[in-house]
Amino acid sequence: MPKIALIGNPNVGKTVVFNALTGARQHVGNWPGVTVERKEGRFRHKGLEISVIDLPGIYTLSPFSIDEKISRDYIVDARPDAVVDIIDASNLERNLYLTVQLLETGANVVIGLNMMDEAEAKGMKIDTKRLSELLKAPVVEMSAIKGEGIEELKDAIYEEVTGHEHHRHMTVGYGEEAEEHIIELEELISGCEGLKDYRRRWLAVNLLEGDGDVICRVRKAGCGHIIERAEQLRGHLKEETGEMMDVYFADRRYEFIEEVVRMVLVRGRDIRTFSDLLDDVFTHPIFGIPSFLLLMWAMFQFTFSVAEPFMNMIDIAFSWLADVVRSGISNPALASLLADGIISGIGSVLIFLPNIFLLFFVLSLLEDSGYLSRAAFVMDKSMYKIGLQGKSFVPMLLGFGCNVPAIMSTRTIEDRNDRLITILVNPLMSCSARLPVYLLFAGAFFAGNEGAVVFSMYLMGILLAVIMALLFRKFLVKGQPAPLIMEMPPYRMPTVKNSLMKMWENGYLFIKKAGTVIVLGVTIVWFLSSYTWAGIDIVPVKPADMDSSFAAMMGYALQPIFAPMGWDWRAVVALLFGFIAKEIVVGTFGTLYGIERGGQDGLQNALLGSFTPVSAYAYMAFVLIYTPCLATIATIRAETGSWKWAALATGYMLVLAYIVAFIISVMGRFLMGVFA
Amino acid sequence: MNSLRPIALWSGVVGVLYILYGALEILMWFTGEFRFPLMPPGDALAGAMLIIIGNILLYRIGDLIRMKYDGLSFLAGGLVLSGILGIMYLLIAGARALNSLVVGEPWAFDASYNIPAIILAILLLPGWLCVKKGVDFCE
Repeated sequence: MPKIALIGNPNVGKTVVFNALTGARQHVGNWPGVTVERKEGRFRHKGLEISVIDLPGIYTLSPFSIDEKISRDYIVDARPDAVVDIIDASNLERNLYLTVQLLETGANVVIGLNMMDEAEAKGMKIDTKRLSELLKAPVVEMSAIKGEGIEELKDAIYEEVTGHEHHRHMTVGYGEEAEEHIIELEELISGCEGLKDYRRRWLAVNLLEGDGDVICRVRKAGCGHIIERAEQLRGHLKEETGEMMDVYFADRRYEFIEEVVRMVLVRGRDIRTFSDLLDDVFTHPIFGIPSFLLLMWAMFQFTFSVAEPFMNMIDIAFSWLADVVRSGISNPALASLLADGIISGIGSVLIFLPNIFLLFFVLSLLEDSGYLSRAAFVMDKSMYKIGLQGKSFVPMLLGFGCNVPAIMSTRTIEDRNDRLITILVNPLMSCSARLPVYLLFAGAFFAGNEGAVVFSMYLMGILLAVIMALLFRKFLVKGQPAPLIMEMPPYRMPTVKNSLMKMWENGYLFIKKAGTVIVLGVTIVWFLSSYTWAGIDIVPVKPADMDSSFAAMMGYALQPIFAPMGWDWRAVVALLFGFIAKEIVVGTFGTLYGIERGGQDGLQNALLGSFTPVSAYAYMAFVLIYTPCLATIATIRAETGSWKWAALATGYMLVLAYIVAFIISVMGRFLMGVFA
Repeated sequence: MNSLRPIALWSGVVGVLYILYGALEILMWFTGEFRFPLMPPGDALAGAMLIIIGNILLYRIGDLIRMKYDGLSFLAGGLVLSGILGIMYLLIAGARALNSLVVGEPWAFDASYNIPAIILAILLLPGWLCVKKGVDFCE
């Protein structure tokens, strides 16, 4: 089966093209040895089955980052039958650099000139026929998001992989002196058996550039004499030109690109696009941050308010189910396990599913619209002040959804120290698993102001992350953060289908967790709260005597530590189980109180008897801060490569949670006293 | 006079209304029981958000009236934020109506729906004509 690779700069619509080509016929894995996502798929065209691999979004083939190395190795070593290079038509100069490097490898490149609609909206006219002639590669005009040009791209791929299309290789001229050296090296390379699979000119140019990866390949092929000669020639060329060799060759490529663009592109009158207009406000020094706060606030208002009817539907369904089970099963222990333990526990967690789905939906809308990179830009100055850079901001924002992918997304941060601090403070970003706790307590104790109280939790998380980042930068990893260089893709209308797909992918993980970890957690909680010792026997306890259960024993043992906050043993037990996954906190309350009152309805009323508004707020803050869940701890370990950092994150968060909750309790009680 | 100029002026008027209404929401939050008819209970944060939109709309109103791009940018930004808030409040209103059905309570159209914020978003809609005809603007 012919195989093709999909490549392109970040934000050029490569994923949209991949989805349009393969539809549902795709699967996701990892590249061997690294945790970079590898997406593969298939499509059939004119009766031919073609395999597609989606390479990471990169700007150059120079192997500086993991993504660049993966892409170059795949193209040079796996030699796909065609390489489809997706280009942003509205930004030809920048995108063509990768194209030129691809063509130099000798790959069969098909150019997908995407976002033609945006280029036309900017008044640009591109002579694609001429571009194809100059680059000696087929060029297909596309607007992938509208589905335009996909069939034509498939045709071009088909022609390329079936060998119907033959084109000569494009060559960039590097100047007389350099060309002489290239020819000499090419002759040497042709005599080396181990290098016969590579394009000679590509090897020669890269040897002159001093590309470490290519030097390694030549050495492995047993042709050390070529490396020695290349070093001499490189030294000579450096002397002649007075430039660093990688800069020299990059400059020549850009000169070539400029010439190509001059011949194929007619620029229209400089019209400000809608994206430009919005950027004036959303990246404005005064209005950038307020606009960001407004959008965040709207996100939480929407999540909180629109979810309400769906939450009630789930509540009604689970209460009904618990009643049916309770009345239908004659064995009281089994009925209690199912109705009061599992159904109450799972119901009390799943009730917040609508909030989580809506939160992921809005986050996906923000991400797909291109707003998140603006958020990173406007926050860069503030982030720099706290010892981080703007790129750290997107992982922080993604932490509102789930800390695991958020920590993994820190790979985009090149500077190791910046990345480490971002990872360490990321769990302070309040993930969706903590949301059910806030909603439960805010609904019970702050009715009418739930939105503001939940919002305050998120703000508190951000504030603490700022403080901790400052402390880490001052005492742990000293130095200045790296300056921010990032691309701002134009704003795009997010598609509801795409956002719904992302919402489902992320929300499904929550359902899966509810069906596995949380079921297990609440079953254990049910057992611990329903049984106790009687001598050496384990015997059931009546709901009224739950204070003598195993759970109560554990809670009472730890309660003195939390006495200053005024939390009872149930709250302590819920925190204890929250170590595994934060969702279990609410599930535990559901089970503990469910046994006493037989149902979900009165959970909030039951909490009113155990907490005051101050102790409830302190509890919410503690849940926000105390230790990341097990999955997050494992991710910190994987991403930092050390248990030391995972242990540090767990330890500092536990201490910080206690201090903050203590301060809230003391200050809250004092203020309540003053106002009373 | 350019046909878009009255719309530019109108967006300035809506900007003032946003600020006034936002300030009222904050005032009602501070005063507690003090309420205006047909207005939702005071919410300081919601009020602050409306004030942000009003300020964005008014920030470069002079340039907007003079048909300059800088003015158009702030109208576009204000329109997007106002639209987001308007749609959000509409969806919340829909969700509350659905909730009444779910829990079996009689549905009542009352002041808890943030109608003024929805009306302000609708009042600003003509501003889209300016954005659509951005080509008429200059640097």
